[in-house]
Amino acid sequence: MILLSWIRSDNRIRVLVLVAVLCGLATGCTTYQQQNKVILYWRQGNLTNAMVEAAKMTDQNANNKDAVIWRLEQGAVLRANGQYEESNKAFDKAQDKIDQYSQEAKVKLGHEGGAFLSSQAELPYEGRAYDGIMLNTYETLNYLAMGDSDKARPEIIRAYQRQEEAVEENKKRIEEIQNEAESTTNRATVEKAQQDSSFQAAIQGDYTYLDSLKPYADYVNPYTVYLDGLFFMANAADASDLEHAHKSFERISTLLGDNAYIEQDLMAVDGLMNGKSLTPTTYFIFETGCAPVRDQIRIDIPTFWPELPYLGAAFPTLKFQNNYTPSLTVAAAATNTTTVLLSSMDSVVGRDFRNELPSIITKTLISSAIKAAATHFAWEATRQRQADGSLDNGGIAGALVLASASVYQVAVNISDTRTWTTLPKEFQFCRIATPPDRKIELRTPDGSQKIPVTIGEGTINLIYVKSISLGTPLLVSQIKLK
Amino acid sequence: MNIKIIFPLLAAVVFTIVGCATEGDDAHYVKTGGSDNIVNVGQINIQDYIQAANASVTNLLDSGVLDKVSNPPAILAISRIINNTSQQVDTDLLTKKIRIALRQSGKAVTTTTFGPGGSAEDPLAKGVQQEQEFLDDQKTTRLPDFSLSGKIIETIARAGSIRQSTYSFQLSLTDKQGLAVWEGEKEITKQGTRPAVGW
Repeated sequence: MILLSWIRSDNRIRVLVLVAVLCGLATGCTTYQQQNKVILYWRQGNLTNAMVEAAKMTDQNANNKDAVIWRLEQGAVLRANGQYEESNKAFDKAQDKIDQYSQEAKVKLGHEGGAFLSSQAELPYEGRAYDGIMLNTYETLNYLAMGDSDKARPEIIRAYQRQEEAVEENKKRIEEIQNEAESTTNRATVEKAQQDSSFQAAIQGDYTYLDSLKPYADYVNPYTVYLDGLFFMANAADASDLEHAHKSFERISTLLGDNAYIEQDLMAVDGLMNGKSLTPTTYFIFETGCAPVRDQIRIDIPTFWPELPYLGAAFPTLKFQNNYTPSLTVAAAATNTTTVLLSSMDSVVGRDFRNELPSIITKTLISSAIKAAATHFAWEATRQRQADGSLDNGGIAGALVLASASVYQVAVNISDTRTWTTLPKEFQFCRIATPPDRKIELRTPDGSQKIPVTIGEGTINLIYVKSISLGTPLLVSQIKLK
Repeated sequence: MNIKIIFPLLAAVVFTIVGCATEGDDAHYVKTGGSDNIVNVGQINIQDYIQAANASVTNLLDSGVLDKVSNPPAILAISRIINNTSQQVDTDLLTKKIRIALRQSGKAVTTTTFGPGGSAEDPLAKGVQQEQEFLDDQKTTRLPDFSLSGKIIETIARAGSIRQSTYSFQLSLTDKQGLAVWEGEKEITKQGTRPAVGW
């Protein structure tokens, strides 16, 4: 409001200053997806170039609003390349920033004000709930791969905690955005848009795909819950750890429904509780495909200004990546076992997106209302000065204002498309009794890849298989859990 | 020069100087464990380890368990301290303080050549010990009278913007018969709020 009355006041320099400021704010407004070359190399299975690009982007963005997202991408790429220690360093840096943001005030007036004038992508990326959960899940796996179960323990506990925290954070987020919508000076525009039938129809139509995603409880990632059960079963230090493992397997059982593998896990924990030993078992985690990316769509929103009845605003949308290997078969001693779905990251990301959507819509409406009002008053002020002849070169100045405002509107009309793109589409799993010769073969459904593997020493082993895209080579690693 | 030009220039210079000031200008020493130490709700701070160690040592010495060994001072082996918190912590921040206090009390000494799974805190000392036994052709090492094990547990609770964390430091002293002859627990609870709005 201060800004608008400042513009309205009779000073042509202010109009021109505003033009310069708006052009300044518009500078550098490219979407994350346009900047992200890591994902291009990643999808090709070119880990070397993906790592180089991730390192470049983390260096360039080490201390700015995008520091977290690039560290997450870097951590995932390094992990896929087997550089577990370096991967954890990247994740630690992301985690430090995420934790720092979570200690600060949730609503930062300076940042939010700037973002309303520019774009939501200008706000610091503080990490979404599933980012934090996956960050700690990957750190757990990295420590386990390095044979350090003591350091893996706090990470899996933190991953569990983050799921609990996310539910609470989401409640707060809903309250905050409701307060924001009620207190904004552009409330009338926001309400007008919310009541506009064509706007509502567009919103409902464009996001119907969210209804078809697999329903998980809020912020629960079944993969993390399963890994938690597996960790505490294989690394049980006492009875309370076994109880912990049992609870996690029970929880995963309610999430997945009837599942023979989970039933076998529950029996194994029960056996341990009754003094039996674990029988040699090999677990397979198949991480396949790529998580959805964020794209943007244009939806028209109504305004109060006659010269601008509708304003096109950019809203984010999820774009699912379907070029993936659908399953993995483990051939061992004349028996074939195929992996089954453990966790759909499409659903995990989709659920988070759905929860965030009301906040995104409200913020975009507020932002669009402010931009429309700013343009209107700048245009109005110039027109008045042209009419009373107080503006030298009135025609040029007026044209400059309108042209700059248009350029600015187009340039900042981008949505926040930042999302952790190097996460997988799905986590699948299976378990087998470790064959006596410890020899297995991993096969893709189309038969294009057959990889013989000799299971390492240990009673409980985990074979980790990653397929980034259909046709890219399988990445295989092993972890001795016990 | 026009004041309209001088004033913004001066302001810019002042802001630049303030912006360039180093973060460490107000750095100063504080007493470790003192009331002016930083307190974090979601972290174990140094004063928490000090409190937990002091409470455990007092409780252990008061129990008289260490006085009952036939050949004092008692020999203590440090077993596993399970970290069931969500942070990477070095459990020596707890155990070392306990070891030092027990050593200073004269009632217990800690072996550095006997650890979980055959590991040794001081591998060189273990090598020397083994060499000595080889040269002497007899086993002279005294087995530990007790092993100290434990767990650090974190419990998080929230209500609105209030966040609370409790750290439970649980310790057990087990004798050669496998009996927990002493057990202690110290709980430390911290609360804090997160500001709703800021700059």
